[in-house]
Amino acid sequence: MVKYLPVFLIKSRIRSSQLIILIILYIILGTPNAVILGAAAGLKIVIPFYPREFMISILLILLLFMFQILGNYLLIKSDLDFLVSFGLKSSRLALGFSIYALLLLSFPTLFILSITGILTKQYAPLYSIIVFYLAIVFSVVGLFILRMFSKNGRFLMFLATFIVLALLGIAKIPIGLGSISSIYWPYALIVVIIYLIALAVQIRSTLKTVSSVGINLKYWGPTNVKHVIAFEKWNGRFPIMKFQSLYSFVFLRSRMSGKSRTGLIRSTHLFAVEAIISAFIYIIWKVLPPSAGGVTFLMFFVIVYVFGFMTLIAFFSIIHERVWISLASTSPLSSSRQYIIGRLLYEVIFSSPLLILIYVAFLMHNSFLIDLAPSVIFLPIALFYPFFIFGVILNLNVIQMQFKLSYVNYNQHINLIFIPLVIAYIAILAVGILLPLVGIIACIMSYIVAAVLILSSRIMEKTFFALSSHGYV
Amino acid sequence: MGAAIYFSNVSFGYSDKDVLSEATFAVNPSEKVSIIGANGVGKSTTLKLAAGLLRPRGGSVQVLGMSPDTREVKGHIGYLPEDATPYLLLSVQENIEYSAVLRGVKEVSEATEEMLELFDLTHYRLAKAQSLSRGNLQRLSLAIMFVHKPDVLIMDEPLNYLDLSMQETLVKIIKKSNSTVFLSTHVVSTAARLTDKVMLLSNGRVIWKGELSEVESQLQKGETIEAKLAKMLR
Repeated sequence: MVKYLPVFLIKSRIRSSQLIILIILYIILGTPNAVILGAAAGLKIVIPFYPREFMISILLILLLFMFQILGNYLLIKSDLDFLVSFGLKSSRLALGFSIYALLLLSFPTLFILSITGILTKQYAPLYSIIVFYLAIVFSVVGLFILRMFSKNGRFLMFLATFIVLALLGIAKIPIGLGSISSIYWPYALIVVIIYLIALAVQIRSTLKTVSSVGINLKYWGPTNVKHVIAFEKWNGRFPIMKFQSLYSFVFLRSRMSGKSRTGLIRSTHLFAVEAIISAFIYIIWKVLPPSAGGVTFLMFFVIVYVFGFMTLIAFFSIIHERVWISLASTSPLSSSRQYIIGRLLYEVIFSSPLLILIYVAFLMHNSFLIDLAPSVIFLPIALFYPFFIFGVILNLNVIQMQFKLSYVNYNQHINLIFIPLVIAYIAILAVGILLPLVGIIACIMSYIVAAVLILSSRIMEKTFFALSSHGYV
Repeated sequence: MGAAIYFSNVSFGYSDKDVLSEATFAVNPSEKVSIIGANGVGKSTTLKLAAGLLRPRGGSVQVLGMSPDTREVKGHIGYLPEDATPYLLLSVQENIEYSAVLRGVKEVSEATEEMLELFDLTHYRLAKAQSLSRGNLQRLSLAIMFVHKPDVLIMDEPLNYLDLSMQETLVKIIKKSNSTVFLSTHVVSTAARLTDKVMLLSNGRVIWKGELSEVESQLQKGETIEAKLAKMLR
């Protein structure tokens, strides 16, 4: 059973076709790496060189991002319902889960290794990252197994994990922080920050999944809302659109101990927040000179913002919508349009600090942020296309591809809708670095296509029925 | 006066299987009808078609003489899916108010208060829906469905999760109401308590519609009504 358990665990979460697509993707992405290695062996292939800071930032955030997604795969409710109650020895289960977890968490390593060659020749720090990543993987797997099969408190496990990690760091195994620091000082700081964030995210994600099996009400936070949304004051015009554009704040209630000021938020307040964020980014940019790593930090910040934003999009995407309440209240055409435009509005509002920053950078003739422009401009439309590809064009069940939010189970299904989003984002990012103007034009074209789709009555109606025909109401 | 709900040769299927095949039936205004059938036979699908959540592949569905897709009809329909889940991060009060706003209720606060009292949710008004028990979630879902006082009630297993007291409350509300009721259930007692007639769905068609008393009159000695209905559905 142990022999086949990892296979079962993978097969119970990912379809064969999806696995094949992933493997093909890795092969395709890995090809440039092989070409570079070939070049090193004598073939003369010119690979453009890009700033190390930029790549380090992107790849570190990519790691963090992948951690968050993969954390949801580790343990699902059916594992406990079925496998644990199956009478298998816990040691065999632990071994099976360990192998599976290592296989699963190796994917990001493979992925990063495969795209390394596309973007930079600076191998040393990237391999260091991979070493750090593997250290995290082992820590997480250990913690995961401990959590599953021991009665120890979380504190002890956290402590044990951090001691192990600290020892790894002190011993500089095998490349370690020391070698990264010796190359360029901001690396160490960034890696440590990311390392801790990634670890915290992964541990939280793992523990949350395990504890959600027992319906951990603490996860949900306080039961009462403090500031009630004044729906009774809404004038009744386009309520779905209005609600969608503000729903992110409702979503914060699950994360912010129920103290979200959702009921107090007005659209006008958002502009003040936007202005503060934009000013903050600008100040960092101007105050920290490049020699002090200002550029690195700024890039890091921008990329964190972009990825953080994308993660947020996934969490409150269609899974939180209630078709039977809202979309079923008006015609399919109107409800789909209101829903999509509302979400786009929200996404524009939230990415506007970066858009403003890029515009300011453009006015000041600094090309640095122009390289990031395509990825930022693409941001608001990021969720739109995966939704259409899965829900309407491929006619697949969007809800199954995200995770199902039900009364008992939370966080147990997979964010596969994210995969094309990440691929698209990386593609746009790469195009933006190589050919910023082409990237910007491509982004603008994507908006035009989206507008055509939204204007099409047939497509909008198809969108509505694509949702409800999959049993999602 | 025409039918409140009218299916005319309606065909519908999902990508891998056909569910309804030229189904034809009518539910008259103020009539209360339960639909009974085997698992996967298309009961929920029939309700979704009536609520305008699905569009038939063939034939036509009319509610109050119009397509259920239209905004005009939506305001007259109250739909409760099986295991209905409201917005979990909205409070009980917010869920009801939002539903009222969506359906163009003029006095949103008053309508909300009325629903809170009717379904005994006043105590939970500020509670996030995710913190409610399954039974209270069902009460909230019923409040969301009733807030605009619909003329046509379409419900999938409405008594699920409700305690006995709330079941009685709902039965009284429905019996007293002049609305058309079209519901799906596996429980014969639910059909008997909430509706006057039952409709049997099998092989994509309605095979029988009538009063339960007609079935009871045909029972053989020792035979239960459930056994008789199961036999009729074969």
